[in-house]
Amino acid sequence: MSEGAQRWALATTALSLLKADPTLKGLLVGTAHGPVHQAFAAQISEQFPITHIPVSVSIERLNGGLDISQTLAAGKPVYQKGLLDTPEGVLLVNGAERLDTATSSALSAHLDNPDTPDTRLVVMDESTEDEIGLSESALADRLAMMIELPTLPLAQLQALVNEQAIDGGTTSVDAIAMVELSDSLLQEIALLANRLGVDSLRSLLYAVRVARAHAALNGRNEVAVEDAAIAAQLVLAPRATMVDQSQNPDEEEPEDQPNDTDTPEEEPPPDQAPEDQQQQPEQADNNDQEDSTQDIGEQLLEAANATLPQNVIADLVRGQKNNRTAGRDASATGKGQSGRPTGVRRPRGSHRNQRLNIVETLKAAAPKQRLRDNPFNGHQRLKIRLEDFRVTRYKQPTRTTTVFVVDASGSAALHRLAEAKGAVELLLAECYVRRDRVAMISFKGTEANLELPPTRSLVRAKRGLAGLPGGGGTPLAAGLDLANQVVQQLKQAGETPVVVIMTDGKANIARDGQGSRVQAMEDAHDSAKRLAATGVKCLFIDTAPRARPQARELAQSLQARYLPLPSMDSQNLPDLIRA
Amino acid sequence: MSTVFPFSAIVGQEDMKLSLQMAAIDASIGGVLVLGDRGTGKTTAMRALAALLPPISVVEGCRFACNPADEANLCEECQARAPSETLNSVSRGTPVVDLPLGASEDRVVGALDLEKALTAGIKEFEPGLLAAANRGFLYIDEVNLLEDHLVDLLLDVAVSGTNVVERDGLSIRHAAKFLLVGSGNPEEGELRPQLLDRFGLSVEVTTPQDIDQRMKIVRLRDEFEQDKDAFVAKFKSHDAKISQQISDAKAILADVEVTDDALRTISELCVALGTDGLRGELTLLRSCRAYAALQGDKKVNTSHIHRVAAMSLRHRLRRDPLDDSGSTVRVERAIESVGLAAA
Repeated sequence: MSEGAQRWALATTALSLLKADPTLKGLLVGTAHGPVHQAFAAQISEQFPITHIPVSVSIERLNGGLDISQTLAAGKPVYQKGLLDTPEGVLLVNGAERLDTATSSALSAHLDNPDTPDTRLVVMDESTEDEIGLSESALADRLAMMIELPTLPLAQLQALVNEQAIDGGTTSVDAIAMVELSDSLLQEIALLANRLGVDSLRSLLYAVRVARAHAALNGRNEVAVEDAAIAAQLVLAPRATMVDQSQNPDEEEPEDQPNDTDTPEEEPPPDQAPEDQQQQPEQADNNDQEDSTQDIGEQLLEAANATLPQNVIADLVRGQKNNRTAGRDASATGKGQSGRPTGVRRPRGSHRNQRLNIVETLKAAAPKQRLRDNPFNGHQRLKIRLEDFRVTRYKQPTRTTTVFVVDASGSAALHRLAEAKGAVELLLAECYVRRDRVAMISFKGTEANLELPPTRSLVRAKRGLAGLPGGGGTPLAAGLDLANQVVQQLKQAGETPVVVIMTDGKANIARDGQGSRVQAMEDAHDSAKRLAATGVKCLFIDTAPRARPQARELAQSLQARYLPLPSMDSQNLPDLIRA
Repeated sequence: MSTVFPFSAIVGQEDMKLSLQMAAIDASIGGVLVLGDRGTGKTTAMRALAALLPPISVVEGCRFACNPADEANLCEECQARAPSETLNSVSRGTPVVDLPLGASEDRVVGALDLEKALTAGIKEFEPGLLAAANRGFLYIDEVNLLEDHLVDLLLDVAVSGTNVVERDGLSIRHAAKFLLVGSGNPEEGELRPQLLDRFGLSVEVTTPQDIDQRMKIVRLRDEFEQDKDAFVAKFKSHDAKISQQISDAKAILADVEVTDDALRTISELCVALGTDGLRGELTLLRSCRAYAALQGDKKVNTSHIHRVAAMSLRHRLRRDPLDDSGSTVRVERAIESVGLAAA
């Protein structure tokens, strides 16, 4: 089976499990918008009644309440039911990477509440690789399973949809509860979670429940190795924060997988008839646990690694871990519902999303009553029209994020990486006072690295800085390009980025990784102009021992403020950022 | 009301469990801040503790959960009702209210009842989450991401026990006595030091890495999910014991003696750590007393101080934002420096 087909099979398995066991609560689907996405949504709607939750939903709409315009029109209270009160089926969120903190935490709270109805939450995360996705948020932690939909040719997709039926009606919650789980297998699952760096106990618990539900679906009354393998793929592997060091990462690339299809432990097509699986050799192995324990561990790990997308592994090996919960602050994408109240305004767009400020609305309506032919007799009721509506205006703090781009190349290290570090520390202390967030990019050798994703944790920033080694070429263009990416993301999130670049400006690695000084400088200027085009404020700190015109020219391309480090008392730096 | 995971079945996390119990014994200790990883049972522990506390008696129909025995402090609505009718009391479980991250100020403090205002023209107050949490627990997940002005407001109410509403042409006061429990992961952003200081206790939780312990937790939780009633029945006597301990501790709390020597040690500890103001001393004093009461001791001794010093003080240290040596370590150091070894 091709990798795409395998992934599709895994996705349908996840749906079957979700149908069989409501306590699994939810599913996070990584997908690009397209036919596969639609086919999967169609699969969901075949199995469940779907309630769509738009990303821009208001908290009132989620939880239900009074429908104000209807109420005014009818003259009696008209309620609307909250979307979260839907008694059954699937609550579907498309484009979930755009969920703001408020909505996402309302959904989390809904999943946490033990009294909620048996609805399942399916969250479609359409973020692309270089965007900040949802997979590490508090919400994702509460969804049992995570899958990544493959990209498939249309014909193959059609064939797959036709041949793989969702199977969820054949078991019951009671049957799932009867499924036994041996201590040795539980231990294997727990060990695997540890090796993959999945700390959350919630995930471990979900893995156990998924394994059990999968066993029940396949007519087993004890969890078998293949059930655990499915749990590893659906629950643990997507949350991996480390790669098992005992394995050679090169062997785990999905591209190399075709060779693996002939190994016996490759997970069986999950939707096959149960009797097929009874014949699996593992079943026999499993009975004499003494000598097979080691094997089980190895099998689980391979299955888990196989579903890791390539770039995740690459990032992980480099020791990178995306942390983006901090980036999803309420103020970033707020719908103007939070912050400090600062006066009133007419509602924009749909007033349903906003809470009316009654007093101001009445004040606005009062002078017009005579015009509206209602001098308080007759109906005894005020005539309030849409134009009178007032909502409170909220002011959200604009958040600044300082992006440090630090040259950690050999030439910089030789001269003054240590001093640059000292300067960054000064700036960090300043950022703490201003409650700014910081991010840090370093470049050396042939590439740039996001050492620290935007965070408010200064401790992490300092740790990252202290552990920053120096040496190698100066891929200045790569550093600036990465800064550009980060800046764009921050802007999208409604924040104000500021860039501080610390380099001697002696680029010698071009964008394609070749060591050509001329090309490298050309690329650096090009990248600098692009970064400048975003309109971001830059500070260029020249760390060369003697200021040279080339660095100043680069600063000009960046439209940055130029500061040579030698002539500068490092205490003055923070003031310059503010200026 | 659905079945809650029993408190006594929670494995490990001793600091978190102890701090919640202490805050339940003496509300004046203030809120509890739980910092640490996701999926460590923060929500579970809080709900579980609320479930094992004895039910509270409230005035039937009262929206602010007034205590019928406390006639002097009835809410305005109950006071208005009292002369003309008898206030029946009903008993209900300790409320647990979740404050979602995106909650508006309206939702938290309460606001003009839109429905009544629009349809009947009546100016009436619609209670918010603070009223719902009265005499119970208010839980805020990711409190470090909550907007500062809301945290401010919550801490004010938590300390004063009264919610004062002056908005929408309303002027209302009502009791809002609750135990504030905040949780968060410091890696995702920090609380302002001013806010940190106002939480009574602060504990750090980490996910256990020990395989056996993790397996034990998963087994228990799994057993619970499979047959909740049977599981709860199994732990009923353990939970009842803890509930009894808390009630007993509450009863003797006022009689727990703090000698001058103990008070001196507390002060020395705070001076050694350079905590600002007297809040640290007061909280440490109260938590020592609550802890002694929980142990059934009538007198605060050095072992009590030692046990609760870190959770009472670690978030009050004046800190260098760039110093990443753990606050707990600094408290331990200070404990040694005042000659207070583990007794």
